Amino acid sequence: MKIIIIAITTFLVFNVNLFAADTTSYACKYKFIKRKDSTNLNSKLEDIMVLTINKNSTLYFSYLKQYSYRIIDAEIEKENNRAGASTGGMVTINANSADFKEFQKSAGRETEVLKIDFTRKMINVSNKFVEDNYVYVDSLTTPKWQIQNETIAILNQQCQKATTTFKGRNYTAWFASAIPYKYGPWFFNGLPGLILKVEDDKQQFLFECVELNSARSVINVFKDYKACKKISKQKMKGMEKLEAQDPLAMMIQGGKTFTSTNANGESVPIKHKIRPYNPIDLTQ
Amino acid sequence: MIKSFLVVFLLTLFSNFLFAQNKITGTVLKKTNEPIEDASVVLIKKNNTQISAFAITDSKGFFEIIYDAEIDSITIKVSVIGYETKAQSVLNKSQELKFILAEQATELPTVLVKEPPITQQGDTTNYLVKNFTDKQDRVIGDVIAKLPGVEIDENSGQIKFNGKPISHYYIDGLDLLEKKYNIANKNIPADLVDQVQLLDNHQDIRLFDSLKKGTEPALNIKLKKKAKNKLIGKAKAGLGATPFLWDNELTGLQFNPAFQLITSYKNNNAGSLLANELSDNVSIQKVGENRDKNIKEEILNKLNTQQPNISTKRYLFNNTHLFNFNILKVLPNKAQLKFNMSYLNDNATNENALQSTYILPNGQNINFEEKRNSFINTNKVEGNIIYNVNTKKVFLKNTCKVKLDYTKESNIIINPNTVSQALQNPFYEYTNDFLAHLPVKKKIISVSSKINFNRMPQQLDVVPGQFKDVFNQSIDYAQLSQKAVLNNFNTDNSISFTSKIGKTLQQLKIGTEYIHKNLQTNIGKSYNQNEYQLNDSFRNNINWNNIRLYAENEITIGKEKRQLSIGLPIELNILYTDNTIEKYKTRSNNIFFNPNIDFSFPIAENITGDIAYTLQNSIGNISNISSGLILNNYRSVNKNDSLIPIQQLQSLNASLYYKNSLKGIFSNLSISASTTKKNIIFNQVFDGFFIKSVGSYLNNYQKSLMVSGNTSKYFIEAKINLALNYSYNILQSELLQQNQIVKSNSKIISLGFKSNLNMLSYASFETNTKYDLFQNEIKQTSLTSSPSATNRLQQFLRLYFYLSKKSTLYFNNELYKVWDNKNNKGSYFFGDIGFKQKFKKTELEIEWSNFTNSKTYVTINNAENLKQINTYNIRPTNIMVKFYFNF
Repeated sequence: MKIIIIAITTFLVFNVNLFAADTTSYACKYKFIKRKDSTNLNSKLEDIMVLTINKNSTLYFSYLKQYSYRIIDAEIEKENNRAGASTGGMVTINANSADFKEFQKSAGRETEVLKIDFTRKMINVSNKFVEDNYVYVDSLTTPKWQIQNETIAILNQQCQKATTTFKGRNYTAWFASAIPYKYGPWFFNGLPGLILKVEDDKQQFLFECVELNSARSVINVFKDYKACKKISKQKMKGMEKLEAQDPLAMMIQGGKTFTSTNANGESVPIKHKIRPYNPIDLTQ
Repeated sequence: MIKSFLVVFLLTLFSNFLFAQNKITGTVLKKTNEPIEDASVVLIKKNNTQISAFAITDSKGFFEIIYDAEIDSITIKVSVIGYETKAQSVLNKSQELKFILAEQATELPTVLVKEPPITQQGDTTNYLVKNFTDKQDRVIGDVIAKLPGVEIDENSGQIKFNGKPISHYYIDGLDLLEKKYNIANKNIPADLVDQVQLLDNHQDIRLFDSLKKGTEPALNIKLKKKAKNKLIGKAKAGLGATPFLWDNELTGLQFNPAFQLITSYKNNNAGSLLANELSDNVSIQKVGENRDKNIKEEILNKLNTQQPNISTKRYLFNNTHLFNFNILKVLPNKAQLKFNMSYLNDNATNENALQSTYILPNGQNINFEEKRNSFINTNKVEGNIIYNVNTKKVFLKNTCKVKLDYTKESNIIINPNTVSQALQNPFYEYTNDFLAHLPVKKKIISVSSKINFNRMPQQLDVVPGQFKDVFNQSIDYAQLSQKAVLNNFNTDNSISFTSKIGKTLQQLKIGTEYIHKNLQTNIGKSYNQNEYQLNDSFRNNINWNNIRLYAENEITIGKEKRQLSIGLPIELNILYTDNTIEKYKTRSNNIFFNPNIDFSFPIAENITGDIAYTLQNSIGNISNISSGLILNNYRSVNKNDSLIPIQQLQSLNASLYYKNSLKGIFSNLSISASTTKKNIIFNQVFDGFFIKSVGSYLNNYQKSLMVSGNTSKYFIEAKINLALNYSYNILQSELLQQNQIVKSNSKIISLGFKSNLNMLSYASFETNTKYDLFQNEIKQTSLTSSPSATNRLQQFLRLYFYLSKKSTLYFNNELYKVWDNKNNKGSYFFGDIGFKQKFKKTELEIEWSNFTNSKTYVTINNAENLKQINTYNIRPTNIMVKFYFNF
């Protein structure tokens, strides 16, 4: 057991970052685990989320997903800069390449991007479906936290427990008062210290901080969605549900056409498989 | 309004009374009285660390905490990013507080997920340079040599990855230096490099990307952002004594996406061999592949001193200047234009004593001893211009190379008579290579055209004249001069068609090569103040015209990681030779079939195998048919008959490669067996000093078996790297000595162990131990000479102590032992002590070399029927002070 602890502690590098009063900029990475099927604890999907903190606003996105966008961008740029004739905008990523492996990792990862403006108390939720980008704007809500007495250490930071019921689920959060930011992953906010861990009581969702760092090194993977179409929150939720339950229908709705043929070459109707949907936000 | 106020008032009053509920309100302000928003205000019970209640200030800096516990005293603590943290102990009652905070930087923790030092992505192995760099490492070559699974040859600088030599060395994806990648290894500072990537099965021609896997690995160094888009300069200035020593360097580097530059000037007399920075490191070509025929083949001076296996700084007494300039520009049409040039000037002196023993078939030994003082003056200019287009649509490459080498060498030899030798050894070469691959419909058409011209006018003067029985009717004479001029022109042109049918890639190639050589030699002597040209038996004037017409069908079948390739080349080899002195002409037509087969396949996860077979017929060289006597050096004369050597080589090789990057394990093992059949055997005749070789037709065989490999393991957490290498080699050959056939059996066993220990923050250790055994046996029907065996052991130990973040103390210990079965033995120790101190932009290094003041070093070599004991002079103890600058 001791060996394991040593292994974990040597795996992390500790040092101290100095921030001046005005150029405050900080970022953390969270391991995010969600169950795609609420009845099956094995249906877990792991993602790496990034929370970057700027003055009075935060940005929250999937590192893996954004990294894959960057790979495609880099490929397109390479192709454009490449010596010789262009390939007509077609980008091929070698299936054996390192990038392709990264790209595969991004499949199924979170496409939603949250931008919270704490001055205006507004939240900006953008998402990408098929090839189109959408956004809705909502007012920021702060969970009502109950402070508990327990403490644990996460990444060498002493964290205190707080509980709440938020968007239909019961959560336990751990915050580090030594990092006096009221921010946290996803929609969580309002504790007197950065939230380093959140989990729900049904073991469906887990956010756990794995890295604390300056924002510069992680923000360069972020690629903002361009030309977002403004829609209502209800419509966005509807699209999220459709994509999770029936991605094929989502693609068809997005303008893609699919045909399916049987052994005789006759076209047959495409079978839609309905998948489980387990949204983190239970309020609609 | 009044009503609600009343309710609140009463409620507060009651709750205060009933539940002891206190309301603590307040404001958090800057020194300028402006409010601070988003400050965390927490309430902590006395003698406690946990937070019991909290509030966050609003835009007016206002907070309100309602707290209901029966306790006397509480602490209110206010913290906010960018301001000081303030805590105030107060009584637990409703009250209003005011906090005024001064601006102050907040320390935020950084906890990074450490990236694993080695990662594997597909065919690419990535090494994070910072994990393998120690404080003593200066250039990227120092780090690459320590990467698990990677080896660098100490002399040539050749890089091997898991046993295979690399084919390309890229800097941020651009191949600036081609074969001279040692320049990058020795000039790019390690701290500018982020990652070293090793790409397995690298295909450098993009047109073939999806068609065919490459067989060799390639290396790419990924630079850090700070290394890009600016001119980086570094310099070294070093002075030392005694004798007066210096070691200076000036380097300029620039790496932009479309422009790269490496230029440097170096000068030293401290024994650092700069010439190997320019060595051409090509991957070992498969037997059967067209070899580079344009290497310098020296006719004269076979008296080369063998280099000892110790660092050149111990025994090389040099004064070397090296300038090189390498530039690459990506043109707007994505083509790359490269210009590389170098100039090397060196004046080296060498002192050594040689003891040679030739073992004759009758068991008799010929011994002789020499003391040599050599002086070598080298002037070498090399330059090339390369134009290269490498896209998915087309590949074009033209390389134009010029080499001017003017080397002069002189020796004074005491044997015990004093003989002086002076050799002029120039070499001039011009090469143009053109290669194009163009897709036409569904085929790729490749055109290759190579032209090479080289000239080697050598002259050897020996004073006083030797071999007086042969050259001057047994009368002593003043001087003997041997001239030898070799001119060589060759051109190789071919066209090939590549097409893919299903999973099979077929390449049909036809081509023709024409080689013209002319060798002219003559010997002159001076006797009684007169110059004489010796008669025709001491002269050669030979023309060699060789035409090769070849056709080749190569089939490659690949599926995922499996690849089978079969090459079926057939050639008509026409050779005309014309010996104008003997008025003797020959013409020979040979048809050679040189098939080769190579199969690489995965065996299990992380394990791949490779089996290859080749048959290669080749024809000898012009120097084999020189019928006039040639004086190679002061004590050997060579004479051949006009017999054309033809040799047939068959080799079978099987290799296994294991690679597990995550666990840091790299291992390989290869077994190769080969047989060479030669149609001519050379008879060596000894007559005192007169060593004469004469060829005659007799089929003879040379056989070899070699088992070799290496294994390395990197312990990621402990930062320990262990590497083991092993080889076992048996060589059998037949020799004709004094008209008797003898068999020579040699055995070489080598074992090496290297370790790097970096787990401590205050010290690191490097050890390197090597053991070699050379065994030799001459066998003939009548008697067998007792085998000779030489053992060699070397142990290096380097210790680095990091006295502080910026200062390092180091010790360098080298121990060499050599012994044989004839009671010759030697033991040598060399040690250095050094200290390094880093400053902001400079670094100071003081080194005391050879502090035990060792004076000599001895090597013992066994080869077939020759045994040599060489004694070298060692540079005396000296101290050097070096300054390193970056700008």
